[in-house]
Amino acid sequence: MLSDLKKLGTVITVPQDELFFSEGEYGECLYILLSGSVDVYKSSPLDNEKCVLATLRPGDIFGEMAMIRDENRNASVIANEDTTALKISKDKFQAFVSLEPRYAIGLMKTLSDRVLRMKNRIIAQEKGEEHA
Amino acid sequence: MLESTRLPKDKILYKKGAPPTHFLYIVKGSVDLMEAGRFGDLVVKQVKAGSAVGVSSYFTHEARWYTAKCAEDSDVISVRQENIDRFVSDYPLAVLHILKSLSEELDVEDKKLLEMGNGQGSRFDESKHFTISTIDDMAHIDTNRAYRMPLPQKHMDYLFSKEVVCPVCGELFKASQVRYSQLEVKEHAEDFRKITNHIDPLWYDVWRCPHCDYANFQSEFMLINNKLREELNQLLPKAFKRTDQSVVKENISEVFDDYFAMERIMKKTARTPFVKARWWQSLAWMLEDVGDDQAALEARKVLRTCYEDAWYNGSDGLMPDDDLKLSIKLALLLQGEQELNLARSYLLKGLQLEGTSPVMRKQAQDKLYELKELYLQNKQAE
Repeated sequence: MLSDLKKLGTVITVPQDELFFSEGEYGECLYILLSGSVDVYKSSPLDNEKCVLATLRPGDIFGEMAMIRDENRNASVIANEDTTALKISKDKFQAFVSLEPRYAIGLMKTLSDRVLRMKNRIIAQEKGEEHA
Repeated sequence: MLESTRLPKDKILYKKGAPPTHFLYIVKGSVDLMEAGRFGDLVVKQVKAGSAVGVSSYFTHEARWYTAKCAEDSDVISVRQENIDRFVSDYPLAVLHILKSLSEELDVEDKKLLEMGNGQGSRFDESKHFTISTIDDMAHIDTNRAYRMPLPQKHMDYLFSKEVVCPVCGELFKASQVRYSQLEVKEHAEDFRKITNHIDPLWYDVWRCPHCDYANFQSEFMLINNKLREELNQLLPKAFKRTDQSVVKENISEVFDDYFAMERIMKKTARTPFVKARWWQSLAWMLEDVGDDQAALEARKVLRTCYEDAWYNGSDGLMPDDDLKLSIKLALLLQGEQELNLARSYLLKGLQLEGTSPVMRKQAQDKLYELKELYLQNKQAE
C-alpha cells in the first residue's frame, strides 16, 4: 500500500530543526510522516515564544486542514530530528483518499469529536449563564 | 460504485434523538434539518446536493441533534460502518467537501464560544473601517467591520419556515418568518422602535436568496418586474451559490451580512424613499445594539436625508398619522444633531396636518415642549 501511496507524492527529508512549513504560508499539500518526529507549534505575536501544540510520530498526517480549506497554515511544523515525509499535493488528494480511506475516516472522526466537544462547552456555558 | 436511493419529498431520514447508525450523502436534491419549535417543526438549515447530513453524530455516537427530512425528491447514499470504506474510495470529492464543512462548523462553534467568553465588550473591531460615501446620489457603506453578538437560543420559538421562489433566479429556498402574533412587546421607544422580548423582528426582515444572492425586505421581496429582474441578473454575482443555508440565524453577523447584501443592490430595488429610510433606520438600530455608536450616528445622518426626501417628495400616499410620525422622527434626528429650530419647524408642520390622532398629536406636542426646554437651557448656558 505504501508503495502505491509513494507514487502519489514525493518523499522528502527535512533535517533536524528545519521547518516543513511556517504559520501563514499557503497550504497546498499535506504530509504523511514516514520516519522521525515533528512538533506542531504556534509562535506568540508578542515575543515569538513557541507554544508546542502536538508532537507527531510516523504514520501521522499533518498540513491537511489548510489544504482542505484552501487557506494559509495556522501553525508551523518543525523537524525534531532528521525526518522523512511523503508530500501529497492537493490535486492528488482525491486519489490519496481513495487509496487510503482510513485516513479520511479518521479525520472525519477527529473533526466530529472536536465539533461535539465545542457544542457541549457552549451548552454548558449557556446553562451557566442562565443560572447566573 | 455505491448506489444512491431515490427518496420522496417529506420523507423523514432520521428524527432528533435517534441513535446515529449512519450518515447520508446527498447526491441530488436537498434535505432540511429541523428542530421542534413551540408551533411545530422549524427548518434550521437546508443542506444541498454535494453535502452530507448526520456526519458528526455518526462519528461521535451522539444522538441526532436535528430531525432530517427531504425538502424535495432526493437521491441519497446511506453510509454505514459496513460501507464507509467503499464510500470514501468511491466519492473522494464528497469526503473533501465533508471535511471542509466539518472544519467550518468547528470554526463557527469556536467563534461562538469565544464571543460568549468575551461577553458584551467586543462586538466589533474598532480598528476596521466604517465609512459612508455618496455614489450616484446614493449613500453607500464601505466597511470591513464584522459585528459579533450571539443571538438567544429562545428566539427560535418565534419563527416559522416558509418556502419562497426567488423572483430573480426562480429557485426555491427556505426562509424564516417571524410569528408576529407571538411577539411580546417590552416597550415602545421614543423613535417608534418596538423593543420585543427574545427576538427582534429586524433579524429576519431581510430575505436573501442562497442561489443568486438577491436580498430585499420580505415585504418588498416579490415586487420585481421583468426589467428589474433582467438588471439584477446582470448585477448579481454570477458564481454565487451556497450549498448549505442556515435558516435560523445564530449570530448578529449573519443579520448584518443579509442587510449589506441588500444594500449592494438597493439603488435598483428601492422603489420608494421609504424603503431606503427603513433600511438605514434598521441599520442604525442594530449598530446601536452592537455598541457601534459612531457608525450608528453616521447611519442616522443618512436616515435624516432619506426622511427629508420622503417628506418633500414621497409622502403623498401617507396617512395623516404616518405623516405626523415622519415629522416626529425627523425632529428626533435633528435634535440629535443639535438642530433644534429645524426640528421644531418639522413638528409644527406635522401638527398642522388634519386628521391626525390625539395620541400621535400628544407625542408631537410633548416633543415640541421638550425641544423648547432644550432651546432655553442652551440659551441660558450661552
